[in-house]
Amino acid sequence: MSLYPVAAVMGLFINIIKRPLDPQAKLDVRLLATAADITRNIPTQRLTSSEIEHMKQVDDFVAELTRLGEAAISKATLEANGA
Amino acid sequence: MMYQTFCGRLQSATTFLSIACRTLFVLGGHHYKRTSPVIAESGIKEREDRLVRLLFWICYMFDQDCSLRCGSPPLLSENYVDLTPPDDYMECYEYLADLDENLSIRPESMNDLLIPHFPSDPQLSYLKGKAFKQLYSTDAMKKSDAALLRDIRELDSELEAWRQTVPQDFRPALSIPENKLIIPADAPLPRRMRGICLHVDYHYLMTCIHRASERCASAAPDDSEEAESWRRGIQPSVDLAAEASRSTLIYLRAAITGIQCDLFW
Repeated sequence: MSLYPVAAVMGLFINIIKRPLDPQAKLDVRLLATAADITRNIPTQRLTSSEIEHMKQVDDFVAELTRLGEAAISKATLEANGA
Repeated sequence: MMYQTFCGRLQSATTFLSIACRTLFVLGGHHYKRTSPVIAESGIKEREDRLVRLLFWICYMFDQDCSLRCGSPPLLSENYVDLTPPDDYMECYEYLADLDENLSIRPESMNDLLIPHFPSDPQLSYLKGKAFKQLYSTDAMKKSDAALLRDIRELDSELEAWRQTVPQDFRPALSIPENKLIIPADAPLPRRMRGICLHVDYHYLMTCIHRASERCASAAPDDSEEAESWRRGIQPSVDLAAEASRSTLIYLRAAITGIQCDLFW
């Protein structure tokens, strides 16, 4: 189950980078940030060490993609306004 | 194989899968044999043949899933196996709605029938294999952009045709808006699980199919009319892939706490 949110995050991130000025891009960045919560909320009786490690990796990965997405939107907006 | 998969040890799972596939070939599971679904009408040999064929389908589904996830070639290629689906597998959608957490079937009359119960839909698994072969195999990487786009359109049509065959209660939605309740929270676990798995699998396959269009690029300069024409041509696919990704996150955000325990991987 943990594959699906990560794969979806990749797809959305690529879309944000390609079209940062699209009105949907800001909404997509907010949606990206929820992916880490999805992984953390997968029901499990007892977490193994590999699952804990995976959750941390997904947290860091999603946080980095969110930061890059917001930066791409800011940069594109500044360039569009400056032009 | 299934245990290793659910523990997240995909490398071990694929090793066991290869052993299982070879064993199935020896037992003849890759050939289709018509068998009766009525328990009273089935002899021992017929029940054995039916069981081996069902094991074949379980291995086939895992094989196509692993292939699409990991990018490695499938072990069960359609050229060498009979992919005639089980005669009555669609009936699982009738009993799933009533199957309770203890897997007891109501009405009790259905206990007289051998209805196959799979972790997913065999036809969807077939489409996963076809998508991987036509879009991500070694041959697919050599295709012209026109051939690739044609295959993407065909796969999309086949995926939609499959979606229409799924009964309304389980049918994956094309797109999932925010705050829409897709599966009733009080639905029994087997019904919830099938609905959730179909939704996420469908959107994942939709993303895989349409994401391949991004490989198409014009050799012309970026600001030329030709490049702009290419971008317009592939934009619908790019939009569909993005919408499928959005739908996955929105859907899982609402449904994740309702899935079966210990399905982390």
